[in-house]
Amino acid sequence: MIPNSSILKIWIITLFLITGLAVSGAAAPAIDITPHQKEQLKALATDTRSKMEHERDNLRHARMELTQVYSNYNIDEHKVKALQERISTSQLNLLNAHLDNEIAIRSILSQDQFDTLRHMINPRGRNRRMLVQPPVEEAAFDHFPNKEIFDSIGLTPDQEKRIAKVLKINQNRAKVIEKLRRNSKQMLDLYSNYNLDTAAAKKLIDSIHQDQIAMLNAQRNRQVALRSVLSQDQFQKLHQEIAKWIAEHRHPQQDGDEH
Amino acid sequence: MEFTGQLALITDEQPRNDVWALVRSRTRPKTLRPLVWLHSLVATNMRRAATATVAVVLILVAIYGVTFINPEPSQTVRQNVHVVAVNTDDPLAHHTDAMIDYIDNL
Repeated sequence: MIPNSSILKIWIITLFLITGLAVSGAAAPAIDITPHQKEQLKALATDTRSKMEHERDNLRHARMELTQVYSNYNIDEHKVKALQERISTSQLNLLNAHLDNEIAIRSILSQDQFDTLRHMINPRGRNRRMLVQPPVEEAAFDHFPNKEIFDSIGLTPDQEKRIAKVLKINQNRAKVIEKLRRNSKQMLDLYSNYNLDTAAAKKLIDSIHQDQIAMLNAQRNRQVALRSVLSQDQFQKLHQEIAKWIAEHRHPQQDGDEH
Repeated sequence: MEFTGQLALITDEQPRNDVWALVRSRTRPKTLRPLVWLHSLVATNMRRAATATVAVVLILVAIYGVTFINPEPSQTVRQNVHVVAVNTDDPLAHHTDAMIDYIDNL
């Protein structure tokens, strides 16, 4: 005969187990897929990650090399063009890799399964705002040159006026970034539908890529314009300030030494 | 004699007999007291188990209410929009990365 106190303990433990299961079930309801689908998804994730890492590495190294080229007063136009091409190709490859991944996901999952997956990944739905940031080397120019730097560089009044025109290039870049943000948001809206309009997606990819190319060109134009205003000595001083800013704000993942 | 006469004029009053009040109090139907009844009927351990069950059910109902029933968000909550920082080089990275991470954890 089991004593009453033991029955009570077993009963309470069972209740806690049931509660735990209920809570964990409520917190993370799993997507209902077959083992075969799971296998397919895992293979797709591995393949997509591999492609992405490859392209992101290419892009990161090309960015670093471009920054190096722009650190010299005399710009090597051939190198700039080749590096812009490399960056642009990686950007496009990444956009296409995202689309390929979306198409493949839909070939594996049913609409209900896809909707569950989408909800699991993004439970907030559309209640999100995209903050599009340029690469840190580019973002530095949003902070420089400022009045303090102008003084330390020793700009003449005429140079200050001409620098203002260079800053206007930054304003144009802000418009391009806003367009890129809108297009990216539109692309995410497309990707949230199971019935993916591939033609519309490709059109958006093209538009986003054109924005990315426009940003690369704006970066080059600004570099050329800076040199047309600043002497070599002034440029070096400015470059040192920018390098200091980048060192303070560079994200670890953007640092090539991490690899 | 006079005193005796006065005494004779007083009405003969007997003390009230309370035997019926006593009978009524003993035979009156008792108030129904479920807890006392339960206490006498069920063993202490069983009562504790029942209390624990009720508590767990209440917790489950509360969790269900919080998790599954989404009330209309207030204006304040709507303003707390989640901000996702993306890079111009790969503006859709966060979307695909989140999907890959989720699949990895399946």
